[in-house]
Amino acid sequence: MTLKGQKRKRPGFMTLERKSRWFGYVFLAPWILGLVAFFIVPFFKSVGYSFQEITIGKTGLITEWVGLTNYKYMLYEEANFVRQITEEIKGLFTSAPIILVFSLLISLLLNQRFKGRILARSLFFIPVVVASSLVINVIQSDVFTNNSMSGDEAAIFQVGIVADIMENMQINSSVVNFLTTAVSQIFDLTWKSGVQILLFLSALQRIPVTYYEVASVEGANAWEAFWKITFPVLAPNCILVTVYTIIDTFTSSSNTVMKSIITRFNDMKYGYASASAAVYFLVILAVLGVIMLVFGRKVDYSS
Amino acid sequence: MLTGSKKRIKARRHKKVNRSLPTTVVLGLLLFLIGAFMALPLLYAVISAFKPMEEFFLFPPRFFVQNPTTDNFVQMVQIMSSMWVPFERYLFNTVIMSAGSTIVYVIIAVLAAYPLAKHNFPGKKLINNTIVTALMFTASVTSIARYVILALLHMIDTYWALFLPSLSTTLGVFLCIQNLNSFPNEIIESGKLDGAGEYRILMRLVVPNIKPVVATMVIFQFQGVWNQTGGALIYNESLKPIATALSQITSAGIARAGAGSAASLILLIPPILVFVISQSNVIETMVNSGIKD
Repeated sequence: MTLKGQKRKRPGFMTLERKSRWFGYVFLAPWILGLVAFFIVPFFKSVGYSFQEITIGKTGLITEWVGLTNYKYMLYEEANFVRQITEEIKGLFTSAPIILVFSLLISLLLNQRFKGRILARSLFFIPVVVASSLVINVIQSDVFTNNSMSGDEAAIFQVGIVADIMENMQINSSVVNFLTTAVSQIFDLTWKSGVQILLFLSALQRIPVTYYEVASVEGANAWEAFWKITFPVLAPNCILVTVYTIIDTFTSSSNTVMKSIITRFNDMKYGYASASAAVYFLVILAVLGVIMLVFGRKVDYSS
Repeated sequence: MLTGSKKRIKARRHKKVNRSLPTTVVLGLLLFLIGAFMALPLLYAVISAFKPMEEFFLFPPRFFVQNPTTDNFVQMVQIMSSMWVPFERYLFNTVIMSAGSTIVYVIIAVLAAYPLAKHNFPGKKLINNTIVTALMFTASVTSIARYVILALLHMIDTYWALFLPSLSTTLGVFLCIQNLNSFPNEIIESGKLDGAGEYRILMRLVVPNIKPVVATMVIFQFQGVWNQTGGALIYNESLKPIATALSQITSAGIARAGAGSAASLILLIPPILVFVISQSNVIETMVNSGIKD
């Protein structure tokens, strides 16, 4: 088999290679054009902006080179920024594992065959649809005007039902407080897992049923089947999901660092906002790098 | 004959791994409970849409509605009909934009992801790294540079201003590459041996086998574009998407809370529909079937 293949390939080796390269570029071209125009160029421009003071004049942008001023101001004078970043990183280390395990479990359940499976799957994706839509603004503004709640969408329920029920049961208020924050955090995390569930599902859907049949014929139980069949296939996807979770947590608009960057941007401090974004980007890169170093190697991609 | 074999396949699929009845019941119950949690945001959106005005201001706020009313929808229709640009126009803009962008993007992204995952050429690594970089960099900050580019292209205040940038999204390409990485090379090889060109291999062999991820890409892209507001890129009112109309309703203050909830509930329906349709088109694909290692 291998001999045959080699014989076939040898004479036309260069052309095949060249052909493959050519096709690669042609297939890539439309998307790359967009990427260059709407990401790569803006990316370098905004890195450039971070060294400048930018004001909007009548004729367009007025830029003035200020060197590292923006960065110095952010790191030494604005005390909040560094603290916000460290807090976000700390938060990630608790939330990411929970999201990962939760979405894995749910996707395993959703991959079973049962009636109304599509409905169940949609149910788990709904928080994503709701959270990214304008509805959440409406709901939040509604909650905001009623009382001074934190920006969490989960806060609605913290007040709404859970507290109601527990107060009816006459439980100590500090216990109620503790439980409601815990519950609202669970809500928050489960709602953030919609995409991750979907990612795991699309991986699970590609495991042939025959594998499981063989396993059951061989006398494996569900537990063994999971560790011997499902888990090896899912392992590379765990990395994908982790990467996605990190990026999603760091760049979601409810992230405090993101909020302050966007505020600076809206205040028309473009140079300063660009500098903060550049620093924040490096931080995310570093976190991802560490995660990849620790976990990336252990996963066997060859299967 | 055909139905018979189908039935047999179905029956065979049903008994996956031996599982006892109690386990099934427990798992089902667990799924139901968590599912109920997950449905809460939607439930809240539905409930808010039917809440009479005075119930929005109750303290402590209540989750459930006491006297459901359809006033909000009536008010919403009134506001929309009094708008300078007819409601249908906003809707049309958004539908064209989201459908167009989703279709074009999925095609472009699959085309791009295939060579990035399965071919070797100079610059491949650089592009792969750029994709991850783009995922991490905040879009809001590049927006000013993006505006400058769109202005240079004379696309400000046209559909293109929203359409073209949406095509450069990296998430879909990223997901597709990750998925293709585990796609068996043997299938592609066999296609080559049978004399299929690259395009035919992609369309006939690869795409049908990666339907789950394509469905995911469709959902993401539709979602993203559906919720886009015109922002500073479009100032011609009759070209703005429907999200702008909604934010106009709600920005008019607390008196519009009801109408806003009603409108946002309606706007939730299309993304959910797209999700359901694309998920139900995903049949369990058997990528590895017929391959012997």
